[in-house]
Amino acid sequence: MIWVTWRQHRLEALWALVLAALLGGSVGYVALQISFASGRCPSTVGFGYCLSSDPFGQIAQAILRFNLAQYGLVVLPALAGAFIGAPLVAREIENGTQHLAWTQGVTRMRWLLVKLALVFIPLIAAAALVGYLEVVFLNLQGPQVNRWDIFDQQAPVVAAATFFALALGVAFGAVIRRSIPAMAATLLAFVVVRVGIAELVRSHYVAPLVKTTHDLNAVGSQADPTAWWLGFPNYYDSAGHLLGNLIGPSVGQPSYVVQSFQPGDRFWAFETIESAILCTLALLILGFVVYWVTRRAT
Amino acid sequence: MLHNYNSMSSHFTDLFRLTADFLMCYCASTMALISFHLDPNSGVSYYVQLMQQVRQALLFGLLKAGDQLPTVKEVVAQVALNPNTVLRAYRDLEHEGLVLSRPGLGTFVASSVPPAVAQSSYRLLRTELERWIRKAHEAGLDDDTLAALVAHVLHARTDEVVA
Amino acid sequence: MIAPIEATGLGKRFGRTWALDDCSIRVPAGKIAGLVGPNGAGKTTFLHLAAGLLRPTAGEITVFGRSPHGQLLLLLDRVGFVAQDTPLYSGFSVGDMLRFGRELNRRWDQADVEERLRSLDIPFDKRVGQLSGGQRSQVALTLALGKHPELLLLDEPVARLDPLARREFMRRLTEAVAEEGITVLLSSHVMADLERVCDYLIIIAAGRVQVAGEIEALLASHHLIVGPRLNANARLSGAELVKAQHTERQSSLWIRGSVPELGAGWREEPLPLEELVITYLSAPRAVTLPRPQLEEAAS
Repeated sequence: MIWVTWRQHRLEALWALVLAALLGGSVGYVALQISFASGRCPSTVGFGYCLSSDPFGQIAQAILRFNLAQYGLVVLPALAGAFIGAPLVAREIENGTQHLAWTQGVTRMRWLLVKLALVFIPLIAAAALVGYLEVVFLNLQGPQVNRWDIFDQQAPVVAAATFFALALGVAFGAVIRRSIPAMAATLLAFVVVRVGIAELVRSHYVAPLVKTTHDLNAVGSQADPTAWWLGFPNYYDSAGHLLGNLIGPSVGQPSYVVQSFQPGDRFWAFETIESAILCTLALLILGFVVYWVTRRAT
Repeated sequence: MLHNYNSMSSHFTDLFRLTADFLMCYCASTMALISFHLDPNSGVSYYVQLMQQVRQALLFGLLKAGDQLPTVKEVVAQVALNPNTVLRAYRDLEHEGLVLSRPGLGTFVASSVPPAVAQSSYRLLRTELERWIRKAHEAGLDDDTLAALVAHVLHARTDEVVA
Repeated sequence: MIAPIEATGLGKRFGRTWALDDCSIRVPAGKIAGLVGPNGAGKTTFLHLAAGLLRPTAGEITVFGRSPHGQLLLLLDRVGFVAQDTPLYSGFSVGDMLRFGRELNRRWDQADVEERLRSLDIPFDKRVGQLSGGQRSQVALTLALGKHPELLLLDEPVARLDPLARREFMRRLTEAVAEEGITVLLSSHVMADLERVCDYLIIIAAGRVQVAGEIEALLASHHLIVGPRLNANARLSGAELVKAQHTERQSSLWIRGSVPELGAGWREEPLPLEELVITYLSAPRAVTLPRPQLEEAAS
């Protein structure tokens, strides 16, 4: 079964390897360049790192400017789920080869579990590796780096998101039984769930802190880039009336400002919580897939 | 160089041909003695056709006492027939006393089989038949009616025998 | 003696349609059984149920006494299946397909399988997608036989093959049966093949079993008698009427049982197997098979 899985999916494995190598390579290369230049950086405000102006450094600058690795890491799980997860079972059924595969000397359960394990584990590992390089890259940018902006691309979440997307893809493939519609459904569902979690659920993992201060400049990313500032700051006048926020109109003289935030030291806790949520969802979906394929699929 | 290569390759082809001939002779000794041909349109069931062909082989001396009939596997590999049909034909032939099946060895022509029809009697019968056919034609019977008459009489004879 | 396939009151529903309804069949061991019927009659459904790919909605089906849907390894080892259109992995080479068989089956005869394909001149490095139809069906058959199954299920294996490829396939199939005594159930439309190769016949129409039995017994027990036009109250004694057809002057009766005393003007016409099958298929409500299995099972 191991050889069969490899033989069936070796092309996908190659693609995944190439993409992971490209992404990991570009992140790793920039991190390398930053660490080379770190001793010779002029003291600057804002950035905690610099890059040299030799050709190697310029390549790193180009990579950074186009931001491809960052986008790539957000998109990678979705692509894995759609292009590798969705056809896993769907293509077998589409081509009618399940009538061949499921009448050999292995049970459907074993067939499915070996396939899932051999396809999922390397992909999740590759995502974790690239995510780890991303963490290293961020670490090199100094203590003031804003990790919250790159929440999805760092090791725990990117690996868990890959796991979730793959499980989602296999489930859609098994139920819809056609590769292309399953791919589309996977992409759509993945985006909806990820955006939903990021926008609606993430900020509530731990009750946020509230900063109330008379120093009107002491809130926001400018003041503390390591924290995640939620929503917009609310300005109040000395009598306690709400004057509005950053965008709204301001009538009267703001006296103090209030804003919720998640402090920087909670970042890894948040990553862990979100990864746990995604992994749990993935496991539930896989449980359904196993039930579906062994009991109900034809 | 080219000349040497040519003479070498002709040696090889000779050797190959010799080997092939040897193998063919060897295989021939383990090949089936007769082959069967089935007619799906004759209206006669296949096992009866097989029996008829064995009887004819015996009649014309193609199979002699002690010869081995083709194995079930050989027959089936040649004509794509249900093996049970072949087994049935061989069993019925055994009931008629024409063949003997030896488990594990195969089916063999029984030693008690009457000898093949002599060439002379065969020729005699054929000449008489040709004469009779000529007479029937002169009497106005066409070939199909002729054949039906023969079949009818044969059938009537079998009924008599059974009765 | 455990029958290779035994179905009792078997039914399968898809959505609201019953693809099979109340089917009771027993395929005896060592026979080559043919499954005949119009398209959509339920032949593929029956074969899939026997192969364990589907689960019955009603009734039950057992293969060597066990339920095939349970995916018991000992059943998977003993049953070979070739689905309609002989599915194979078109990107695999022939050698890859053999490796597939070897990896997924416990009892696998690689030497035998290679020898078979070599004698058919099928190159191992050729991609399956580039094989001819006849070669594909031979590869599929070889793959199914590689684990030396005791039961072989074939779904219209020769449907799209030219006459020579069909004959080659049947030769290989009967050869394997002669060697190993496999029980075979194959569905087909090609009556000529069925007559040569099968000794047991099952006729299915509209999801129901019309007839099942040894071909010899069926041919011996069915008769076609033709005579002058019968009136409406004519009765048939001692035999069952399968189908009747009347013209202005003549009546044709297809009966099952012994031929009654034939009066003046009546004669018996030959009834070859193909005609017998067509008679049943054209009279869909004619059912010869009683339901003994169900009663036996209940007792």
